[in-house]
Amino acid sequence: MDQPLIRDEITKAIDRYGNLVKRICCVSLGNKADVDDVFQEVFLKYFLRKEVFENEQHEKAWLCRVAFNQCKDHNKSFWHKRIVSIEEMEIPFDSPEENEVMTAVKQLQLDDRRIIYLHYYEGYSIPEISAITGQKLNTVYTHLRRAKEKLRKKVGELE
Amino acid sequence: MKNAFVTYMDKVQIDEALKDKTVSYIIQSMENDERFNSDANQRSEGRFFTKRRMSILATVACFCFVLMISNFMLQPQYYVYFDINPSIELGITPLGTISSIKGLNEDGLQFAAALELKNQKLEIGIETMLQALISQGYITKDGSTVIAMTDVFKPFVKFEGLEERVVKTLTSTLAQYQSSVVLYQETTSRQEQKKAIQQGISLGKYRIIQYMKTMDQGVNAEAYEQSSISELILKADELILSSGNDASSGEFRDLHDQILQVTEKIRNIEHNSMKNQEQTGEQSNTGSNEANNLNSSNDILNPSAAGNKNETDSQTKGNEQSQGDLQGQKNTEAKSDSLLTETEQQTVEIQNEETAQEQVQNQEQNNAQNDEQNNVQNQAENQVQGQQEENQEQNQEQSQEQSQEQDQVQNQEQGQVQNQEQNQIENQNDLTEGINQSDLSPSPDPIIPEHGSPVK
Repeated sequence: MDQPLIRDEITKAIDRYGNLVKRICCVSLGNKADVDDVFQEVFLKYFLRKEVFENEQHEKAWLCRVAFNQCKDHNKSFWHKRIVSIEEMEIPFDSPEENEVMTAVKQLQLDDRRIIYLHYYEGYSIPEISAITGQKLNTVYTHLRRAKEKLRKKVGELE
Repeated sequence: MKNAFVTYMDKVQIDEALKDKTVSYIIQSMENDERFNSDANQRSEGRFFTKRRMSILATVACFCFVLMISNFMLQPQYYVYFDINPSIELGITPLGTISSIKGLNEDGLQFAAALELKNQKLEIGIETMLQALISQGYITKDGSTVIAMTDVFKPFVKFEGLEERVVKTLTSTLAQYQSSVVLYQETTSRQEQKKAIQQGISLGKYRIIQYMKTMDQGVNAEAYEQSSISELILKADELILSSGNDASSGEFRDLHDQILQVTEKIRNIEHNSMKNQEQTGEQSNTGSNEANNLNSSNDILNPSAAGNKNETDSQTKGNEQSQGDLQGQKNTEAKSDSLLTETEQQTVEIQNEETAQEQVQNQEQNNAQNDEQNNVQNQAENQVQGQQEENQEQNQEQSQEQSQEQDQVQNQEQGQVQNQEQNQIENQNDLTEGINQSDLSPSPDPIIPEHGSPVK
């Protein structure tokens, strides 16, 4: 095993997809330590994977799915079933609006948060989200509609 | 709102520390994983024990383990062979339930077919079996029946307590039905059991025949297959005596000792039974003669004593019963001698205590019966004496009456004679004094004494 080659390969992968994975972890988790743990596990899975990616979109979609599933598994564990405040994220809010929006997003369910992130930040369409998450199209629509209604009640219209 | 969300998410960036930490973590994990030491193809093929496969394998392993345990607990792991004639095999599970009953000779097949012992508890099954054996006459109450109990545990398995439970149930049930047996107990191996099954005979008989073969090579096993266990033991004892085998060591050492002990017990019981028969014969003769004499005398002297005959009969029967109890006590003593194994000694002590209590009760009953009999005899004698006195009085009265009648008759005769003499004298006087007067005055009437008034 050529260690410098592997190290370069890992570094490149983290540079390319590190921010994506960390954002997904930040949306899904509320604790910096948990974010770091899940981040490492996602990239370990990335290098232990068997499948070969067809293109970059496929690779990105695979990482999104693995990152969300890993966060879900992490939240399932007994000692992580608790509400973590946003203040623990060590990312300061520049405006009260940011604070209000992120607090409202954190109060959504994980599936709804996932769809909000993919749709509003990554710009994926509903069918693409359906392909990434493996959920039915109507289910994704329902989740998105419900999440938007909840956010509208709390912070107003998102768009 | 959307802009606030996007601007906040833009601020989320990976830092160098997390990046270095992740790289070192991944390299360390890959070094520990052997799959990364080979080429990429082997890496993809090498992952057989995935989480899903591991969980499936673990589930299957747990299922197999549960199946094995349940199969082990429900299958017979302990076999008990009873050779009484009938020869019976009981298969017992570790949970203490009877899982199979099998007859090993003709009587055993008939007996096992008539019993429903499967899935019953060990104690209930053995009690039912002994009850049937006693009712069908396979176990006699004289204590001379030999039960050879041979048990086998499957290899690597020995459940403590099963053997003791069998022996305890056996002794308690026999005590409950007031029966006693000569118990011969041995534990053998699974190999011996397989050989016995191949020969089609019970394990107890097979072991004794094998031991007989060590003393005499000419022993024909087939000739003894239909023999009862007591016959086999006595034959083995004869061979031991004739060959002078001490068998102080070897696999048949325990068997040798048990054969000698059982033979001694059988002979003691036979001896005691002979003695008891002789004693009971003598006692029944003397007792019946005495009772007959007493009854006959009562019948002669006093008819009302015939009513007491039934009581005296019942008393003699009571005496016979008490003699029977004495025999029973002797039998129980023989029974206490007959139980062999060390594990039974405690139960034998309990039986001895019970028999001692029974002896005391029987003595008390006998004393009470004797007292009652004496009272009845005394009453009968008193009645006889009273009757004799009454008879004497009657006789006296009769004799007095007779004497009075005789006196009366004598007096009457004397009176008549005197009257006749007086008449004769008067007639003579009349004749002499005045024959002439007879013509002038009529003659007076002759004096006739009144009847019953003696004239002295």
